[in-house]
Amino acid sequence: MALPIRRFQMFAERWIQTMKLSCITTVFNDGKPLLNSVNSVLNQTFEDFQYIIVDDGSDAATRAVLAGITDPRVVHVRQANAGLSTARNTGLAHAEGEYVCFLDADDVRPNWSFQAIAGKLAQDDPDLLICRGTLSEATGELLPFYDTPVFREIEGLVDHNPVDAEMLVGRIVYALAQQLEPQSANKVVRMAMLREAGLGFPDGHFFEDIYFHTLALSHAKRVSFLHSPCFTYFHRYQRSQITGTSGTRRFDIVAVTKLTLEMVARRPEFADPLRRAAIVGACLKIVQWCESTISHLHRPAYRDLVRSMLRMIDPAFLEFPRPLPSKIPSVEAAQAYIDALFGATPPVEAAPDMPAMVAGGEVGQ
Amino acid sequence: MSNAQAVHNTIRCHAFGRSCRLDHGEDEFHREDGLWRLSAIYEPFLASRTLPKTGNAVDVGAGFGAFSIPFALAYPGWTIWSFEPDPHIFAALQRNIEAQKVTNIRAFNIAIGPARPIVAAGLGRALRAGNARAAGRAARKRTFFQSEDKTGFVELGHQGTPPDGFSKRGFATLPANVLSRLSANLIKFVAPGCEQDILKSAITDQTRYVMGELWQAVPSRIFARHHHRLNAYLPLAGTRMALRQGPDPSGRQNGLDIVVSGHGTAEQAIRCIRSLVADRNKDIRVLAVDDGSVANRAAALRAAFRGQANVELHSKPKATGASARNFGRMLSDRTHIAFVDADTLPEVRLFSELL
Repeated sequence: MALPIRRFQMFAERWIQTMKLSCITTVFNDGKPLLNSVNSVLNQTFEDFQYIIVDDGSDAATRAVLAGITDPRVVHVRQANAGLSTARNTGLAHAEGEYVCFLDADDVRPNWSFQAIAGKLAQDDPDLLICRGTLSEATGELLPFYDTPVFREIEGLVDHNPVDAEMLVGRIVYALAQQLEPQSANKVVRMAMLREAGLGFPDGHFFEDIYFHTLALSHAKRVSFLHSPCFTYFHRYQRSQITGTSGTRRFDIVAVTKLTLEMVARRPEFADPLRRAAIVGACLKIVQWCESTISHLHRPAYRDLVRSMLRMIDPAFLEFPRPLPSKIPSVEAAQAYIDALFGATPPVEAAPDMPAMVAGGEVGQ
Repeated sequence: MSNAQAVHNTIRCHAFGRSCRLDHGEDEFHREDGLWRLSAIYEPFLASRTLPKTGNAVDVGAGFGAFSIPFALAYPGWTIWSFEPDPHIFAALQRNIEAQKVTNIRAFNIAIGPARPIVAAGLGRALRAGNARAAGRAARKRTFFQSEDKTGFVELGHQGTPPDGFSKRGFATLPANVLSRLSANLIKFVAPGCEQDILKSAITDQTRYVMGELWQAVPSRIFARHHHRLNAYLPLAGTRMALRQGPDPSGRQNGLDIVVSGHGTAEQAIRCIRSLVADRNKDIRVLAVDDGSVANRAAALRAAFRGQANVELHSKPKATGASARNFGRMLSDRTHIAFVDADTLPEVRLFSELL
C-alpha cells in the first residue's frame, strides 16, 4: 500500500537530517575472520550509518584485530564477557540510528544491502523490515536461505507492499512472518518501537533470536518485506555456534520458549488463535530440532522439561484452530509433537541433516 | 517492433537490491534462462562476497542484459564490457541500456571464441575504449550451433554437422585471450564450448571473481596460478556440482598437507614420501611424523629430504597411530589434509589429481 505523497516527503526529509541506520555486530574470540563481516558492512554502497562493534570480552588476538578497525563510522564498545544477548543489548544502548539491524561476526552483507534497506524503509515507513538471505553451505553450494519459500508465500499475498497489523490480510501475513527464520541479520527494527516496548534480548539466555523475532513482530504495527537477499549465512564446519554445542545448553530453548509465550500472552495477538498457533508452531519447531540433536542420554530429561513447560503455559496456546492452517505447516508439526509428548509412544525422529540411524553420544560442537 | 510488442516483451527484474524492467526480445527461453541464472548463480555469489566500489567486469554471453544491467545499476563505480553475438538479443541489450540510462556498459555484438596466439594490434585499446566498430572489424566469423527451439542457447560449433535440433550460425568472434587486455576484476560468462579457453586465457592477476555456468567439466587446477586470490562459482549445468574457489574464511592457506605416520621401515617411508612429492605440486606439503618405533628412521628421513621445503619432519616419540595423526593435524595450517601410512606406496600424482 503506497504512502500518501505528503507523508512520504516528510519522512524523506526527516531521513536527510537524522542518521538512518545503526548496525550491531557482537564479537567473542572471532579473530581475523571477523574482518570478512566488518568489511562487508564498511563497503556498503549506502554509506551513512553507525556501526557498533561490541567486544564481549574477547582474547588478545581478537582485540588486536578490532584495534585495526579505524573507520570513523565504527563505535567500539568493550565489556566483560556476558553472553550474546547482553552484548546485543549493549549495542542497542549505543544505537543512535532511527533503525537498527544486526550482523553476526561470521556472516556478511552484500554490498547493496543498506541501499536496498534504506530505500524500502523510506518507501514503506515500517516498524519492522524483514529481508531475504542467502545460504552458503559447508560445501560452498549457494542456496536461498531456509525461509525463502515463506517469503514467496508472503510475496504471493501482498506482492512487495507493506502490511499493517489491522489489515484483513495482516492476520495471515503476520502468522507467516512468524515462520521466517528468527535469524538476527534478517531484521531491521525501528528504535523508537524497541524503546517504547522495552524490547531487547533475554539476558543470560541462548536461542535469543526466537524471543526477539516474536516480540518484534508483536509490537510492529507495520511490517515490510525486502525480497532482495541482504545477508549471507555461512554454514561452515568450523563455525562455532553457541547453539550448536552438545550437552545441556540446548535445554535453554525450553526456558526461552516459556518466556516468549508468557510475553505473548500479554499481547493483543494472543486473542487470535491463528497467531497463537503460528507462534507456538515456530517455537516448538526449534524445541523439536533441539531434541533431535541432543544426546540420547539427555533426551528423556529434555522431554520431561518440555512437557512441564507445556503444562505451565496458558492452555489457550495449545488450542489450535481447526482445521489446522495448511499455510502454516509448523502448526501441524507442533500438534504431532505435542501428541507424541503426551501420548504413549514417543516418535523416533531423525535430526534434519543426519542419517536416520543415530548412535548415542554427544552430537555436534 | 510495435509498442504493444515492446511492452509484452518486458519483464520486471529484481536483483542486487534493485528492480528494473528489461526488454528480453521475443525469446521466452532467453528470458527464463537469463533470470534463472541471475537468481540461482549471480546474485547468491555476489551476496556472499564483498566487492570494491570500483572495478572492471566482463560479461560474455550477455543476452538481453539480465546480469549486466542490474549489476551496472547496483555498482555504478564499475565498468562492464558486455559481449552478445546474437543480433536480435543484442538489440534488446542496447534497448535496455538506453531505457535504463546506463552509462557504464560497453556493449559489443560479438562472440567470444577459442584463444588465438596472435591478436590484432590495437584491439585491446579499442575494447577498453568501447570502440565497437573497431572491435567488429577485428572479429572473424566463426561457426556456432544454435538451438532451433531455444534460440538463446548457442554453443561453440565445428566443421561437422550440428547436433539434432541445432543449426549452424556464423557470428563475428574475438579470441578469448583478448579479454585479458581488459584486466577484468570480475568475469561472468555463459559460453558453452569455450569455458576452458576463457578460464585459461581471460583471467589475469587483477581478476578476483569468476562466475557463470559450465557445460563441460573443467579441472580445478585451471585456477592453480590464481587460486590464492580468486573467488569462483561455476555450476556444471544439469548437476549439483560446481567449480568453486575462494579463500578459506578461517585464514588457512589453500593447499594440502599429507600427514605420513605409522609403521614402516625407513626405506618404505622414504619411498612413500618421494612418491607423494614426485610431481612437485606447489600446493602439497608432507608432514612426516616419526614415533620412534623404527630405529634410525628419523635420521634416514632427515638425510633423504634435507633442504626440501615441501617435506617437514617431526618427532613424536611413543605416539600411537591416532596421536601421531592428530599431531600432524595440529601442525597443519592448510585448507585440506590427508593421512597416509608410512608403509604404503601411493601412486605418483594421486593427490594432485584429487586436488
